Amino acid sequence: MGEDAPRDRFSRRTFLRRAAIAGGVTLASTLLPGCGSSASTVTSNSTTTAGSTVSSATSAPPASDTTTSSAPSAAPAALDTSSATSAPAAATTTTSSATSAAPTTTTTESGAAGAGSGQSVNFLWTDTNNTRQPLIADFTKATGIKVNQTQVQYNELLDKINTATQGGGAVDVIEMDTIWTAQFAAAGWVEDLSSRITDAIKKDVPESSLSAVTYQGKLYGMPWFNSAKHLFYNTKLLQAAGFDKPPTTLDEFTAQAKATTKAGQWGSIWSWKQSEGLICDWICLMFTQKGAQILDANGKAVFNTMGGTEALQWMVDLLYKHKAADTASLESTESDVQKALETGTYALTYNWEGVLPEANDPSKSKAAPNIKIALLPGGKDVKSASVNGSEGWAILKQARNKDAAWKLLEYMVSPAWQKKAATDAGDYPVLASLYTDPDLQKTVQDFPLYGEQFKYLAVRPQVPGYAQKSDIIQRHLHEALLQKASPKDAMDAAADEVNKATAAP
Amino acid sequence: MDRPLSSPVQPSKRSQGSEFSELTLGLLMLAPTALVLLLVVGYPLVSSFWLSLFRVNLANPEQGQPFVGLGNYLHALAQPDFWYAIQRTIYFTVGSVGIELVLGLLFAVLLNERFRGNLGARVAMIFPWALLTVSNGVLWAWMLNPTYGVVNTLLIRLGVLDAPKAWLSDTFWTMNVIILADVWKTVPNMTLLLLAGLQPIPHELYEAAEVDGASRWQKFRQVTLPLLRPVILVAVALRTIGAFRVFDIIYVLTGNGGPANSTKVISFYNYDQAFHYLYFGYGAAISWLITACMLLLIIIYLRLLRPDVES
Repeated sequence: MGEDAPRDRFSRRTFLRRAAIAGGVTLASTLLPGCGSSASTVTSNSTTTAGSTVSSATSAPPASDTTTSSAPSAAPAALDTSSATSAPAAATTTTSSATSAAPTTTTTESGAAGAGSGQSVNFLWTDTNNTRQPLIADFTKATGIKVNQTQVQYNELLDKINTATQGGGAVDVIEMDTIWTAQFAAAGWVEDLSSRITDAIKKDVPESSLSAVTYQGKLYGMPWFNSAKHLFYNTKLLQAAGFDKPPTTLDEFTAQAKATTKAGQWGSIWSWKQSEGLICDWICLMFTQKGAQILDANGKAVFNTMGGTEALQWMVDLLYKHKAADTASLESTESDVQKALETGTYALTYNWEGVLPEANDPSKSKAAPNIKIALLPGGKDVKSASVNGSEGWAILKQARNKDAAWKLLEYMVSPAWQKKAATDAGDYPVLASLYTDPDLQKTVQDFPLYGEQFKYLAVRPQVPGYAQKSDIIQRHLHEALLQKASPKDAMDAAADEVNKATAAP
Repeated sequence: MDRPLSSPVQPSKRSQGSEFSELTLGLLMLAPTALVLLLVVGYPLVSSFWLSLFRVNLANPEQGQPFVGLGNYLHALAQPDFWYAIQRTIYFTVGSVGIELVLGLLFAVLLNERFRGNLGARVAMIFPWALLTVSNGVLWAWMLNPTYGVVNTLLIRLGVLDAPKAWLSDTFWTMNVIILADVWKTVPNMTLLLLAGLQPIPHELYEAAEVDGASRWQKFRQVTLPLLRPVILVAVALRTIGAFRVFDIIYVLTGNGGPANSTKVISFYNYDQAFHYLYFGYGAAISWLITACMLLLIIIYLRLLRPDVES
């Protein structure tokens, strides 16, 4: 560009300046896209965790202090604004709703404890409605260790963990669903806690809870709560239709759901969106048949001939033949189902524990105080069938301060946490001794029934690569539920694909 | 960016010494940019291509990372899911870009007229575009909710529907509703581009057409469209490339590309393979296949543009 300009010192300087500006602008514009989407991220607290950081596999910048998001997975992290204020941060978090997608970052600090020790733990979990925040505050008060939390919806948790471990996000402790234990352990992401979990701890934690965090005989996490699906029903609607008792078999369920469906009111609603919740309900229905099986001893998919097809047929019939399930089921998650139940216009639902406190709170639920809990229906030779949804907390291999992380796990399994979590958040305790606790029997509605349901549990396959296999089954279940395929064709295709997936790229 | 270097490359007659040092200076100035570009663009490009030649399954480190050549690419091309995802992507792209073009053209022509409140209309136009895609998605999810969404309430009041419809659990409607949400957000973008193309069209041409007795439609057909053609092509090209990579709005509205994978577009498929199942080699191969599709599109558009540039 300087060619036509007179060659003197002045033009030389102009060139220099122009070149400098051009270089600077290009440099800036090159660098900006990397952090462009995080421009909206406001972090008012310097201790905010970088846990929600999603970094791409290739560039992998060690996400340091603020929340950044990189291009390929900008979606989940983009809306990171919210909260990030100190203190128990009750109101600010973006909660639930149909679609979510708003991970929130909260930091809990106890004003009292001398933060001089400066110990902190970065924790990734799903407490999006903040019901367990007081417990975290208790922990900080007791130990002086700060907990920097990243709270995400359950359906986003696995991807967050994947990226945190691959991209080097600063996450120390994660919430680990039972179905991930195998994969995380096999991939070597989580710490083997066998030596830390002493017999003294194990004495009060039953085998069924430990199984959720066990892979090949070793313990990779601390059981957090016992979990299963239960039947929640609206006594008012059932009584109006002439039923004194909730259904104990699937046939009775169909009859009651049919009788309670009328204008402005549905007999049932389900979490049959294409997601893990669909698999859980399908398994509950499948195991009402004796001898049902998902994978055989060699890990081969056999569910299409071992009860899965019949369960799917029942689901399709309930939707279209009996018209006794709201079609909104096909886009609902468990939290949508709970919200629906709370409108007082749904008679029967399947859901995880923890529904009752809110559903019977008149300020939050129009259905209060008519919601009750019962064992899930069974079948001919099966009293009841539910699915194990227990979860644990695990320490990542990459954790910076494993001792502080362990303190958090230790506190979580103590009676102090377990009892309060049962009363405040409706979490099943993992400590056997608490099931006879008189306080809990008094405060938690129908407390012994939870313990009873836990005796009838099917376990989802604990195999590496579960996520992909589950996705395949979900997709085919959904095809049948949308009447794009017959239940038999859908199940055969799913089994075939699951068996091929083991030889995937 | 090596363009600017080529101009002072023939120093010859003019004052050689300073010319040469200007070249060095220029190089020095560009070096940081070049270095950064190399790091953030060049390195990932090369390394992702390299990665795509291996079997990398991060969830199963025991299997090692064997070299498979073009195995990942061949595997993708043999997957019905891959082709289904491509098909859904094309459906989305054609649908959204098509509607955006028609609406964008309409709005651009309208806004190009002089009327009271024109400026206000232009500003209002930009709002949807300024919204974050994720917020846009959440907004639509609320509006479409079968139990308490405003869309169902409105349609029932208007007598279009008898009962609430579950829009996002219908293989036909979900994708179309997503197209609608995308159109709502990106029409302003299209409108602005086309408006910029409309403004330099000289008014005399319309006057001449009027003298010849052209109707409104004829003026649009014979004057506006031909002159706007290059701008339309550029706008469509940009939007096509954007639409082909759609991901966020679908992630927010469906979470999993449902119902029954009907909204699992190619970016979503890629995301699942790489970040959900941790098949990184395979994921890298898919992203290169997506890039190949884009290159193909760009070449087609360049071809379409060329004759106009010459004439």
